[in-house]
Amino acid sequence: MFKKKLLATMLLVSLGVTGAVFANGQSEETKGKTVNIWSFNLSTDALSVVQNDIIKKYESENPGVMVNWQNIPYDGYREKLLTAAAGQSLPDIFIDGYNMVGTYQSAGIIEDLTDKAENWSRWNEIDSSLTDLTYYDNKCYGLPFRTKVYPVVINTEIFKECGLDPDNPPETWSEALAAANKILKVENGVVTRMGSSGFTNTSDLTRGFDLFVQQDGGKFLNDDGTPAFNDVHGLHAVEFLDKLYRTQAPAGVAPLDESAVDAFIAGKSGMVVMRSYNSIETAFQTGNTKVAQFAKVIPPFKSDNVGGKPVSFFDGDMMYMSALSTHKDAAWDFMQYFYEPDVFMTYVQANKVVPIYQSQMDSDYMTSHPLLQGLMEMQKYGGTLAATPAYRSARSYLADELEKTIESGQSAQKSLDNTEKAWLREIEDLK
Amino acid sequence: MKLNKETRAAYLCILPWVIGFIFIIGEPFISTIILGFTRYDVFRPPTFVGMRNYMQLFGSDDVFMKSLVNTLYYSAFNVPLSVLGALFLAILVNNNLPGMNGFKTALYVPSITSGIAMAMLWMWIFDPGTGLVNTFLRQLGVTNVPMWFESAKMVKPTMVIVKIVEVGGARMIIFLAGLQGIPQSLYEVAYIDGASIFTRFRKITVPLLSPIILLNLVTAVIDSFRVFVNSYAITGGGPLNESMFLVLYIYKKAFTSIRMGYASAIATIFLIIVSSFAEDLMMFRV
Repeated sequence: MFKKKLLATMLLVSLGVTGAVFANGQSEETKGKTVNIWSFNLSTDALSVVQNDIIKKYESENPGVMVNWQNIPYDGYREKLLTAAAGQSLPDIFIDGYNMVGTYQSAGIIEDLTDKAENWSRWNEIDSSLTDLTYYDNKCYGLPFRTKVYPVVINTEIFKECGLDPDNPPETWSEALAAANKILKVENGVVTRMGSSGFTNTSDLTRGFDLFVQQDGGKFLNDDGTPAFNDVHGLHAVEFLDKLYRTQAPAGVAPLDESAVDAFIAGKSGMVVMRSYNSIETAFQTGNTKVAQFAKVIPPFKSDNVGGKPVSFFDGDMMYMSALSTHKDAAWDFMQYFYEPDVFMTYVQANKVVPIYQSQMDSDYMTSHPLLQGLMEMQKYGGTLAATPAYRSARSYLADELEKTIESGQSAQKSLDNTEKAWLREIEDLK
Repeated sequence: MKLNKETRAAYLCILPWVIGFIFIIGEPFISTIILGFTRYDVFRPPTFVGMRNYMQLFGSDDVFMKSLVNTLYYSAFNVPLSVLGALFLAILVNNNLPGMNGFKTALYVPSITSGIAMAMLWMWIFDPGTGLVNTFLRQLGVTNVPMWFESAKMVKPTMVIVKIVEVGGARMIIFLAGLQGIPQSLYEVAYIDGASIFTRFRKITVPLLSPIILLNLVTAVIDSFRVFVNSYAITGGGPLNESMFLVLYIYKKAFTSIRMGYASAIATIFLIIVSSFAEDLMMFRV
């Protein structure tokens, strides 16, 4: 009998202990003065610089304020953000893509930083093509954190080998296809060299389509977020996308094992289209100097049709402030410190990304990396980036329909019609 | 009713489990059913929309219907093949031959290996260009090798094959335990009476193994409906949504499209389907 009572008592005590262990152990003092920041996919070097250098220095200059920067793997990042948003426990600052701004703004979870940013002394020193990306509905919602450029990068050695002139690269869609088809090599039913590479997953197809619509002189979305792509420009874009994809993965042929960028770095692709430069640049900076010898950034293509224009994308991530933060002043103070040009540059160099300040475009960091300078010239070709609330969920329908056209021959018009219907339904559901 | 001390102690002992069940399983279970009638994007409170989610699911959501068909197809092949395959393996290894323990271990290892690790391995083995399988087939002179995970026609059969290999070992062990519980004297008597191998299997093995067969069938049905890791890690649901299964679709709607209400509606339908199948199978128990 005594044993049963003892067992029952021990079980109840263990419940209590478990609850105490998992309770929030922070003191009120620390809670109120800790700025929590979440980021994803920072390189080890960048995280080390951020945590060991930047944050330590900031905390020593600001006693009583702690900065807790967590770097989370991308695969679980958005789920963690959603869970935190549902539990009203978002960090004070978080990093996410520019294209999420519409979703977060409509949910009311990001802080309007227009007044803060535009009255900040450094704002006008940042490249305007990057600050433009932080605006949605004419309001600024963050600071540019990591810029991704989607240039066309050609392999000059492969070009020469195939009788193409790398100093006279393709400019139009038809020239790009002709070059890519000349470079494509298939042996024994397997692709051994891709004419072009860049479409690794369905997300790349949707971005490619978006870009090509604009290169044909059209628009992807109207100002109210409704589809503008179901027109002749959309048809041209689907047709070009289909043909370009086939220079990467011809029908009925086993594709190359490597991903689009890995294949390019390994010399198995004539040109990379629709991939951010980061991987190529990282390969160069981590010792693959051969990449810099054969890689050359060229201007984006334009459609052969009337109204065609060379358009590229500037994309990436920005630093948002949570509207639910209980110490926005402390968060903004840290953001200003982090974005001091010399402080931010230490992060830029560690993370191997592009600087954001105009004054740093001619820095040693840029001039000593040939690819980076070529990439920054792409900013003059900037296109419009979709960031509406419906974009994230609706683009999956676009991806499905594009895949049907490419893989099973569904007509381009049917794909656009189906996508438009689904997109309008998503917008309606979000109202 | 007044509880005696012993009963009170018993209830106290199971109390932690009950509390855990209510908060970790029960409450989310009820919430999912309720959320299926709402529009909920996590950032704002749920908004009641009635049957709208279900009407959209059955009225205009082609991908949902596709995922349902894919899951039924996968289960229709995976369940009998994996159960029969495991039974066959169990009969084979139920012999006292040298090295049999090594075979049992080798067959069981995939069951205890991380799902993602196995998925990476399968991607390498079934790569159309340089994978082990196609390299071997090309060496045999086959020119038109299958594209496996990258073919809309082959992706589901490939998924079935890899799952059979992954779970076969675990099911085999369960069958083996059952086989070793059948008295050898029954087989000896049947042999003396002139029963063939097939007759002994049909009249002795199957009836005495039937509870184990039912157990493996029920778990196979539940597991096959829950297929997720391979389609998430290897194909992402493609190509052309041919490997989009119900659980993966729930995940995509919930965490990619951020439509929790809609995902909850799909989850509720999923629950009804799996419960129905499991209940139907349980009706066959002896």
